[in-house]
Amino acid sequence: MAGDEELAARLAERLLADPELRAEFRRDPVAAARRAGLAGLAEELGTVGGDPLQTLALRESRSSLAGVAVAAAVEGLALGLPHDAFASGHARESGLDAPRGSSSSAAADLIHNHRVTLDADGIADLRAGRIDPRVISVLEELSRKHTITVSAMCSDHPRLTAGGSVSNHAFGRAVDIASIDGQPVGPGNQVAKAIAQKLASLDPAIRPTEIGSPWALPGPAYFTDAAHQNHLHVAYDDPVADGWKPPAAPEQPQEHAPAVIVDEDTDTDSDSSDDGDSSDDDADNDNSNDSDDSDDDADSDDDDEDDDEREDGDSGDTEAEADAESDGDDDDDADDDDEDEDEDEDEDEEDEDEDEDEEDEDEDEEDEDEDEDEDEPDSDDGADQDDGSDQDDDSDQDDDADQDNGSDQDDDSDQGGGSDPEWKDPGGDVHGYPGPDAPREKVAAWMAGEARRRGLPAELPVMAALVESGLNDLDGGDADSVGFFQMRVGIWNQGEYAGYPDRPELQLEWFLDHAEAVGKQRAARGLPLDDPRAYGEWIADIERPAEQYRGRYQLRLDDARELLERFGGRRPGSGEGQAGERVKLKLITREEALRARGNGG
Amino acid sequence: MTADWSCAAGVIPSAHVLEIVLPDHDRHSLAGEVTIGRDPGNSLRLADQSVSRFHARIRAVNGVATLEDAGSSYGTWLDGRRVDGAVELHEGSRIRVGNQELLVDRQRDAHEAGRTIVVPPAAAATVAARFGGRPRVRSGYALKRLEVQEGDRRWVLEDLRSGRFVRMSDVDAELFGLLDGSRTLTDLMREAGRRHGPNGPARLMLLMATLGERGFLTGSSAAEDEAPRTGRLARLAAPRQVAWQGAAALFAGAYRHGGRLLLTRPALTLLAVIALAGMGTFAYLVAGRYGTPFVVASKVGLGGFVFVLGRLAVASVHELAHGLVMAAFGRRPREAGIKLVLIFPYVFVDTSEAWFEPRRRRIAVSAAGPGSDLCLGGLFSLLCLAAAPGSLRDVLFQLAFGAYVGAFFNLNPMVERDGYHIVMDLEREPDLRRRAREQLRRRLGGQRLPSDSAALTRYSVLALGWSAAGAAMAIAMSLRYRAELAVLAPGPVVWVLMAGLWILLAAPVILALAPPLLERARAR
Repeated sequence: MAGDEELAARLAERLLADPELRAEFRRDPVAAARRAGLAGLAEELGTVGGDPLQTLALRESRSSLAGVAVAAAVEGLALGLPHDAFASGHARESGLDAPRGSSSSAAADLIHNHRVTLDADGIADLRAGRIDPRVISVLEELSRKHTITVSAMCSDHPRLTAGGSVSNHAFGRAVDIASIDGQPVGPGNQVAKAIAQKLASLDPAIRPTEIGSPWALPGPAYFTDAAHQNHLHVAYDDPVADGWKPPAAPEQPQEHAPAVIVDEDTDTDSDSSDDGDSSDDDADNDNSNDSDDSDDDADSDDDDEDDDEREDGDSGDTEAEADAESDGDDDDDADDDDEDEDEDEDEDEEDEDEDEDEEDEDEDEEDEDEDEDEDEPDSDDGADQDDGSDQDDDSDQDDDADQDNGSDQDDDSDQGGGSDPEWKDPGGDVHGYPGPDAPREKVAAWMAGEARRRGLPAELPVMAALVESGLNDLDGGDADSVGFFQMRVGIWNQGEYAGYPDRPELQLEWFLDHAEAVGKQRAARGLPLDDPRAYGEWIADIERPAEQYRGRYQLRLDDARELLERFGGRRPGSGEGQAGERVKLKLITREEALRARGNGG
Repeated sequence: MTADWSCAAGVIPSAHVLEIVLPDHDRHSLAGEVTIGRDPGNSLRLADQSVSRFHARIRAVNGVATLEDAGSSYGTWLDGRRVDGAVELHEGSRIRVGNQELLVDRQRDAHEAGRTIVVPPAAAATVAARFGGRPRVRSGYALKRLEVQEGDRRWVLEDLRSGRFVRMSDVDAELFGLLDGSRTLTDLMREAGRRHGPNGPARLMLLMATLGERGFLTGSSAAEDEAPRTGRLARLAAPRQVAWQGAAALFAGAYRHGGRLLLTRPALTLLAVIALAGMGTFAYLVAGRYGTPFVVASKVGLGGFVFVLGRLAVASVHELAHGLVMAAFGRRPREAGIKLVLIFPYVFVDTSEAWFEPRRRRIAVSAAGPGSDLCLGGLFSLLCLAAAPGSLRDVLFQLAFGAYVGAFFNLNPMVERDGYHIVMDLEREPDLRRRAREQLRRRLGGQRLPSDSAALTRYSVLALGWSAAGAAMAIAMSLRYRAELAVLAPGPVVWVLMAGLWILLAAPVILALAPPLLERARAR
């Protein structure tokens, strides 16, 4: 008997592993068991018989709109055709709105591209226009030099990630590549690794924002985990822009509007850092008697003026700007702690700044020549603020700022992971939910403001919402998950948070309540609360996704910051900076700056 | 903690004893004092950092269970409210300790329906991992036990990844529960033998093969779906659809805000009266020449247009009615939207989740659509009767006509529409249609076979009845309106209209009968 059990177990194992044997077994279990030498089992199988699972028909109610008689004809056709032609269609289609893909000629080309192997689902997706044109474009691009096997795109991938958020696959914005040049993707596949690395340097129009691979590669888009050991996952987090065009020429217009301003000439920066000491002293003097300070501190006057003009109405913006810039400066100076604190104080004294700025105005014009060599509004604003606070220490900051500008820009390529721990919150606040049509920056600023009010990091809710919902108040996701943070209706739509699906404020409240609670736990466990590199973990503790997705939150730190900064008005699209190249900066006219600010703010 | 939910252990089962359902579906009866916490000294230990050592306490006395916080650092929450002092627990309450959620449930007798157990899909590695000799059901399914009255196979299993439903027997469900990855194949075989006697291993083997075939086991690759047919006709006929995610929320909202009043007894009675009165009225309208189908203000084109628009409105209400009844049972339609087959648009609602509900409710869900059609048809007929002659009356007539035609076609038992679903539930035979078609094919193919079952015979009679009614309707319409249409439109147009109507009515029958007859002819 024991021997029989062993034999039976072996047959069962083969049944699970070998589809052909399984099919045979399903056709005639008795014969299959007998062949495996299990006469007893075969006999029992004979008595059991039948399929243990009985298929239930889908209960789809359909009503035709145009003449019902016509519908009957179609139903008739359905009778005539094998049932699968119909069933396979609607059973597998994801419930999501057809994404803004295109069943364009590009899709058709891809289907006929012999260097790209697609499965039936993939072809169906492409035909149905479910696939984002960027995905198509990136596959075409890769297929120029390699043959590629695609394992999943849209319908053949689960709609949800383990964390319950909607996968980019569901929107047709992602593709899983299982093998390259005939070699399955795996930790040892060097070609695949090279391709994964190459993905980040693609044309911005088709550069993925999410690249899962078996390797821990540096860069904001990359992630790796247990589920991505056998394929490359290439995805885009944001919907494709209206009027998106595949990158035809190597040089493609940037996705974002060009940065308003920033230095043209990085060499001079290093010069200025040499001069640091002397300028430092000067700054000190300036601070003590503000009226004359402008020569020195008004590194860039264009900007100064702009600020002044705008400041009347909106002090919040200036504050944000100043912060944004100082942030840029700080990029890799881990020692700049003091400076940061100074700036915090500065913020409070903003009103004073304004007064002084006005005084500065007169001299601005004279300085214009110098400006060309100088860093830019960045340092300018920083300096302005220093004036306001009248503290001697501030001069250090000037100095630091200069140096930073000189050497920093290369560092933009930091991984999302822990880039600039000294990032300064640009402030900027939106009271109350800005509404479903509000720009993303505004929504982010609203979340950040509420978080700040509770003493939580401003980025926290923004990062979470970026991952969970792409910063959208989704009215679905999982059957049950709703909203910015994909809260489960079954669990949370009651008590304190009742009605949250229609009230984003409650969603944010939920998140922040849990952020506080989890924060306390983390503090109790001795984990840092102020380390941006741990924000992702913190969020993961709140949202509790499946293990392999815990790492995704941290990847959005830079995105969250960029959004907040953009709301602040500066860096109206730091897309360039992210490219990891030295940024070409140029001087612009005052009008241009004003215009750019207008858009940004 | 093993997930042995299929057979609830514990004290003597009683409908009055509450149980705590742990996140892994393990159940714990509430009797006397139960303490919850991370410390091993608790009667209910939760190994989770977010749970305090001694987190909460439940006292159950005389069937009344009260929950209180035991000085946890993070609080105990009941249904989203923080517990302050002792609060009473009820069936369905959700307790949150730390990040763990516990459900309070009543003990259920074996003959009762159980709760729906949902195991959401986890991330799927596209290339399956080896199962390592310990078969495990993959994530992404929902399972519910229905009442014993549902018959032998009363466990309904939904594949959350493909959206398909199957059902199975108690024995198979128990075996299904064993496939949790904790047992080797040998252990499984032995356990199956121990629980279900000599044919246990055989059943297990069959079950595993079937589950493997359907891609339910981690590590076993599902049989590949047949590649979509590439014929031009098949490609044309493949549905294209725009599904709308907000539909479920809309239905739930509509139900909350007034929809539920429609499902109260008085309202339903009123609707039934309207429907019945309307049918009589419509017959009178047709006989009394109050209107002509497809004709408004003496124009055929305009009439057709109004008819189509009216169908859109009626069909939307039809689907809304399905959704409302679903919402009344606490189920959400999986998707709803517009579908395009060939060039013909449909509105659709996927009410498959109704499989988790008992039979009567399933019938109610399916009947809601045609019921709403009949009510609307009745309403429009009555209004038409009341209206003065003119365009308005013509429009109302088109609407009533559209509603009745819709109801008639949706009750067709031969196609997978509401009528078929109702028959299926009435007969407790889920795949009537497939079997009926098979039998028909065989019979027409020349084999002499006794009828498969009485249910099939009844189904055939129903189908024939419907066809006869359809034919009668077509004849009546042709005779009744041919002359009138001939006045308004040129002869050929009328003939095309009539011929179209006839062909389309006959199409399902022809297509069902033709292939086997052809086969037979060829065989000779």
